[in-house]
Amino acid sequence: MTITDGLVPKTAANDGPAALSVKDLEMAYIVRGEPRAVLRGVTFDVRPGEAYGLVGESGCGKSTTAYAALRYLPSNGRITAGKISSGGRDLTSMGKKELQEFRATEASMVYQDPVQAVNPVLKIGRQVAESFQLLGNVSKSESYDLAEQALVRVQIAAPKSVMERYPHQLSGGMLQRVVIAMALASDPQLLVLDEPTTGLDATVESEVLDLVRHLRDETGAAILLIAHNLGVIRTMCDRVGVMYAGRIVEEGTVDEVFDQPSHPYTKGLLNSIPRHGLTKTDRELFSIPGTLPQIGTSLPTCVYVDRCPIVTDKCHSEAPPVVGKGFTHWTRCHHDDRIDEVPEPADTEAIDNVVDTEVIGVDGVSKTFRQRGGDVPALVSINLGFGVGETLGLVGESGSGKSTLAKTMLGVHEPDVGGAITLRGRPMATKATSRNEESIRSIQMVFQNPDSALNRSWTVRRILIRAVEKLTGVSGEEANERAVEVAKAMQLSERHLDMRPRQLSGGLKQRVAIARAFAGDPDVVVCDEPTSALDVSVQAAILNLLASLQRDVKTSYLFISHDIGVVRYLADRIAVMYVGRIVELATTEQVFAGPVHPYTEALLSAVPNVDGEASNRIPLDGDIPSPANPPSGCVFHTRCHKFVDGLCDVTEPELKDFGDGHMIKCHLEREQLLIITPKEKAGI
Amino acid sequence: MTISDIGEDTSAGAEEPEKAKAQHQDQLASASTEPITTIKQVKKEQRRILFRSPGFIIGSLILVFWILASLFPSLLSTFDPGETVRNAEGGSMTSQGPNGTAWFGTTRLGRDVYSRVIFGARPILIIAPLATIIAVWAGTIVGMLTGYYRGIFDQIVSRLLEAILSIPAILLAILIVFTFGSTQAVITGTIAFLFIAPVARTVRAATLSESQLDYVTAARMRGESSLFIITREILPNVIGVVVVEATVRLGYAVFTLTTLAFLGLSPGDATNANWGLDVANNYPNIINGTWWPTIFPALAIASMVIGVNLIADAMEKAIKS
Amino acid sequence: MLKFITTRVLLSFLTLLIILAVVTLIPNVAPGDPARRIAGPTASFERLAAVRESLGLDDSIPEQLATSFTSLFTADFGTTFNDSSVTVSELIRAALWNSSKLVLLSLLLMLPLSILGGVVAAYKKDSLLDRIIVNVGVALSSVPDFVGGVLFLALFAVPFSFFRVTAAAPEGSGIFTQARFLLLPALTVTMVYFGYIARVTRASTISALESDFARTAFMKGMSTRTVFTKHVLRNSLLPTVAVVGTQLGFMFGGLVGLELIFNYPGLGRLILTAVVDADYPILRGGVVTVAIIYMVATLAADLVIAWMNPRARLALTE
Repeated sequence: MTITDGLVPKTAANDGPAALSVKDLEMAYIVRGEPRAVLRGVTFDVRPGEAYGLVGESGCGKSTTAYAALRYLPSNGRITAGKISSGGRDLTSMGKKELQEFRATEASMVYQDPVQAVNPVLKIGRQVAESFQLLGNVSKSESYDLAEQALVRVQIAAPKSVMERYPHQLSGGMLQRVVIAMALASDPQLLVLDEPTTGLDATVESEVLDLVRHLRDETGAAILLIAHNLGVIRTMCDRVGVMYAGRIVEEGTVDEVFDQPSHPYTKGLLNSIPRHGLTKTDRELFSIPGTLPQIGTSLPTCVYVDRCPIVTDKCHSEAPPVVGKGFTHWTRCHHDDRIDEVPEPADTEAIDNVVDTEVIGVDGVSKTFRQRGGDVPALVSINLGFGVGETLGLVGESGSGKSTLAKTMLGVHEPDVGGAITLRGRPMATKATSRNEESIRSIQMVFQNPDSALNRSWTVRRILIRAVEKLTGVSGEEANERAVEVAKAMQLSERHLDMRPRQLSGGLKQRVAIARAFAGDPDVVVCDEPTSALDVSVQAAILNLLASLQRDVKTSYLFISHDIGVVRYLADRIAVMYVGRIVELATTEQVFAGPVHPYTEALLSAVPNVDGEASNRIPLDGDIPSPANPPSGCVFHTRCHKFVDGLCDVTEPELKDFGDGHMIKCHLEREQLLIITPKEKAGI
Repeated sequence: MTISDIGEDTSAGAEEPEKAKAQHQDQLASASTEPITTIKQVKKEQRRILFRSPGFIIGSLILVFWILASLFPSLLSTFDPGETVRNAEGGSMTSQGPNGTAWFGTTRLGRDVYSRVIFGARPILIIAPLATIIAVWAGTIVGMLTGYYRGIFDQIVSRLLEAILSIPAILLAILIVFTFGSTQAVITGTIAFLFIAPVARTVRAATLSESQLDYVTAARMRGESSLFIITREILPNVIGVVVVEATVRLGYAVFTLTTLAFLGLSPGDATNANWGLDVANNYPNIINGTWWPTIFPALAIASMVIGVNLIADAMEKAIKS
Repeated sequence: MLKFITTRVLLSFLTLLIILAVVTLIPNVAPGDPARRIAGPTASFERLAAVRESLGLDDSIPEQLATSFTSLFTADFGTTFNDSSVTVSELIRAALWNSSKLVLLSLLLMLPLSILGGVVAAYKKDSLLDRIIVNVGVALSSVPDFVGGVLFLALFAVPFSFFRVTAAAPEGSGIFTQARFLLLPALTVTMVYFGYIARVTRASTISALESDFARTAFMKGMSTRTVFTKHVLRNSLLPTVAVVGTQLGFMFGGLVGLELIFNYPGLGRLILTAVVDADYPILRGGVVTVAIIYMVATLAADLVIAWMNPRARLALTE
């Protein structure tokens, strides 16, 4: 069945004008007087009360579409063709006043970074009240009353005190609630959310998403949700459009698109994330070859033609039609019938890599930062050991001390007296500058942000040669050869060696950073969120690389990540950190089989599931406590859903063995931990 | 972004900015960093921006003129700076307005203002760049050391720099030059010394933010020495800031130098051409209508400062691009 | 907050001591006999001794330093070297008063003009007007004040008698007459600073305008004007305040050439005369006064910024 572009059948229930209708929208950025196409004919409808998601990798044009939907364009952005309308009103031809009124009363937006999205010098109350004042017909004092109610509505516990605060005094999750409160001031018919939870912890993310879901039911607003996280889209939306290079290539209900993808891009995207409990011993992740075409590239036929695994001559000569796959599902592909030919990644050889000999040990390490106004115990008696070729996943919310632990192991921070980092049983010097060559070589690090981690004025060759020289002691031509060799192992080509970091894409930069860490055959590599700044298909390539390096050279990893799915894929064992303490240490299977520490339970339940499986979410109240001021007894007792009064708030539990080496820092017994008793949360 | 553009009528004839401004960060940012350009293209791009900037062109033309004047003053001038201009009858022409013989007029003593303006460039173009180079060199060292090591060393040095910065440089310059004598060496040394503080402050800030980046942490983890980290890792990344600061300081060096001359603190005697001193000697006669012996050297000073400023501004823009 | 102010004041005191030490030591390290230079080559031995005594040059260096430091605490710099009946404090007070008048008028002209210029340039970013404001401002920003002074003299004071060639109005003149006399030097100061302040304001206004919070305001359906007045300006004027704070010291003490041209008895000229006459008590008092103005101005600027910006306030209280 072939249907006309954009002519999506309406469901009987919603036959009014669409809350948002985008038709053949083309947009360009003017760069040096030349228009560069960024949207190449985007068409979709968001019907009243519907939640529509747009997914795709960075640069595909999804955020541009979102902002264009409210006619907010960058100074050099131009709508070159097409039409945007909302509730039957044409936005493209709206005048200034009309547009202001439209934004004030009919459509609202929630942004990616809530900390930046509010004015840092004004009190929260004033900013929320302002949204009501813009509606007209309210006095100043009424607007403040309404603001207070709005904050109650977004489940802020103490609205009066929050209104008196400044943005920097609130957490990111709290600020996003405030932004949502402002967005809902006008009871909008259309709510556009642009990556509303990116950058927030999974626990906070799931709370914000719960809130949005709840408010949507309450208000009946139509939602346009932009997210790169497929799980978020799956759990939040009714229908989804998959965007690539300024075009929607596939559209359908979330179940249709995620369970029966019929565009090669969608399929590639879904195969690049670890789904259904996949691990590195099962198979590799799929990595889409090539890179996204640059803005302005001429793509007259299929936008995906250069990267498609099932491409034919036809794809180069003819634009693909919109092919209907069902009542609501369509794809823009010549070869949707050959979708099964999109290759699945190869199975990996299942070898038992982990050898029990401990290479590096963390031995009773504490780290106290001495500050004015009191000491801050950032790490409290950490004990860990790394077997040869083992990956230890380290998870926990931001501020739990993960990076501090990494930096202490590497000698950037000096641990408190009494603790030590040991190399094959012998303590190393605590400071990197006083470590001997062997200690330095044995442990290296890959940072989260390669832009910060690579010296931007050095060439890749120089970066690698220097690392080789310092870590292996060879120099001259030998060092160069070794650098080339390491680069090759990272699948970097000769061409890349003489480039500087700014000329490389994010994925290539991270390869350079990994190459640098591997220059001296380290025993342990600490990876601090190495893929969190990358798109999923690039992430897949990096994870494959890390896994294959480990198979080849038996390196151990300390893999820090907020993405539980990624940790599950890569890690052999998992350590869970909370307020500077390890609260759980177990094999990956043990963690996912349960029973687990209540904190781990909450963390796991917060992950938005891309497989569409229902999860029983355990909400965490409030923010993670400051390590400067840890709660009494068990540090988790303030947020624990299995809290035992008079015990947990008094005595700190030991990290004790629950059998098979499964360590949990909890007073409860195995049986008590098994019982799932999610705390009811008011309002949801 | 121009306001007229923000969410209002997009076709409202707003100017088109040179650079693509990505309001929708994730759109442009990642896509434009694809590995297409080579380093040569990047540098070429910076040069292109620089050479096409009208400010840079005008500034360079002005400066090239003054450099030529200081190298070959006799070629460009019509008289000797100390020479008395005489008319056809051999009588001295004193306090004459601009005319065919003396293009910028003559002074009370009958000297040719134009030639004095030409000859006045040399002393400035010797002392100001020299002082600037010394100040930038020393200031960069101080700034990098304090920015990298921080701690008590930084506190002490910063306090000393703050002391210098809290008094207008010109006042300290007057005091020092007057006390030690207005020789070329003293003036150069004084300006160099006084400008260490502002250079160090700028370089310190740049070094501080660089040393918080992970590549510095990575270098420490590799066991690199502090000297290596400062000179090889950080310096290449702050050199742009240093270059811009040097140009800005050059403008202020001209400022300080001519002001000192105006106050009578300059090497050489009155027959030597000296812009600042010529202004000082002649400005009381402006009210009598004899403006040319004052205004032309004043304009010469202004043009040199403006030239340097325009270049500094253009370089800053090119480096930031 | 109180702790912050106390710390700042104490640190400023330390800085003042360093400055005083430098100013006190300079006559000692100067080549030749300063007393001889002051008294002239033909002075008698007795006269030389008297000069030396009054300069305190006979004292050991620590004693000289002690004397200077004491004068800082007592705010008494003694009498001038040339006339023992006139105290340094009186002279400085008079010069400070004159300088204040000039600075005040300059600020009244300069601040509205340059802030407006910066905001307009930001609003019309990349337009012709923006380029003119930025380039003219940049070009003029370090032109020496005396050069501006003589140009204004020739352009305005000669053809128009409304403008005066001397800045000091006759004794007992009214406020408007005084302002008229001060107009040309104040315009010169405005010219010198316009570009600097306009540029800082422009840059911060652009970044506030392109910020996410301004975007939020636009998306609330706010008009451009309201976004400006309620959200942008309060953020964008912070750097301007800081810059004005650091430049006030220069305006009080650094306009030596300008004060000379307009024959105006301000602080700059007082210090210049003190240097030339080797009148060390005035020199010390004058330099300390200028430094104190700088410190008070930068502290005040920081406090204003803290008042305007809660994050800066937080940084101060910690």
